[in-house]
Amino acid sequence: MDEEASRLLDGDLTAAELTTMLERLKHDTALRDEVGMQQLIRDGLAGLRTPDDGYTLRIIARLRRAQMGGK
Amino acid sequence: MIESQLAGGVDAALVARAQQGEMIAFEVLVVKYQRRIAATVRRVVHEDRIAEELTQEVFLSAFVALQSFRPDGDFAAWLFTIARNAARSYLRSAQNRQDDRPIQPPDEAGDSDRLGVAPSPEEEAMAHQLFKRIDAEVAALPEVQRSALLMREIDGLDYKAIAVALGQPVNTVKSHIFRAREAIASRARPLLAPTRDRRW
Repeated sequence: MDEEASRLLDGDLTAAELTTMLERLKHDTALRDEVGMQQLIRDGLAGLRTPDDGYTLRIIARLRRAQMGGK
Repeated sequence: MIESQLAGGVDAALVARAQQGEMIAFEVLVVKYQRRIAATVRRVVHEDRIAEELTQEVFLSAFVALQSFRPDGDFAAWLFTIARNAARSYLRSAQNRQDDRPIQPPDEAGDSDRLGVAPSPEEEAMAHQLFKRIDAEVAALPEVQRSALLMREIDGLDYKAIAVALGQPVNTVKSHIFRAREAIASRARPLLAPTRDRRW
């Protein structure tokens, strides 16, 4: 498990580490998957047990379209 | 000199980066909050497909209004306020229309976005299996790891409070929690593999 991803979600990174992490996330799909999986487990432990049906991706896709000037 | 943790918290730092145009920072906030926002909306509207649609609207509204968010504000509180207002507004308009149609029919947004579509029975079954596996893994953890993890994830305690409760140094508590998460993730990962293309 990626410790930096865990620390990101815990809010335990320094500003410099956050900068590095965001740069990695832009290009590293495996790292994005790791962060998503870790958050899914955390949410699951907290009782938020929704299926992994592409929900996050759909929100992000819509945001990216909005950023590009679409709806 | 050792650099300290982010002064205003990670959310404030992510918002600041997003305000400067780093989309990836806002995406992290989506990953972090989307299930909690969806749960909040669902408690008001009581329907999965509408809750998903409104959840998308909540993040879109937050994204559009992000420049007006103050650096010293509480991002989570702001986001949950947007969510509650969106859900109540939907209910009011649905009552006025006497109609519960989604705001935008799914077929208008394209299949890839599946707006307002509830999870399939297969997805529900996979989720059930996944969380059953997670529960089993939590139960199998060494006592100190399980206690530390549950205090963190269920009780919402910070590391310092957990350290006091367990009578152990903060770094030891961090290590317990990381190991617990690692054990759970190793069991969960194979079950999540089939849905990799649907994740961020």
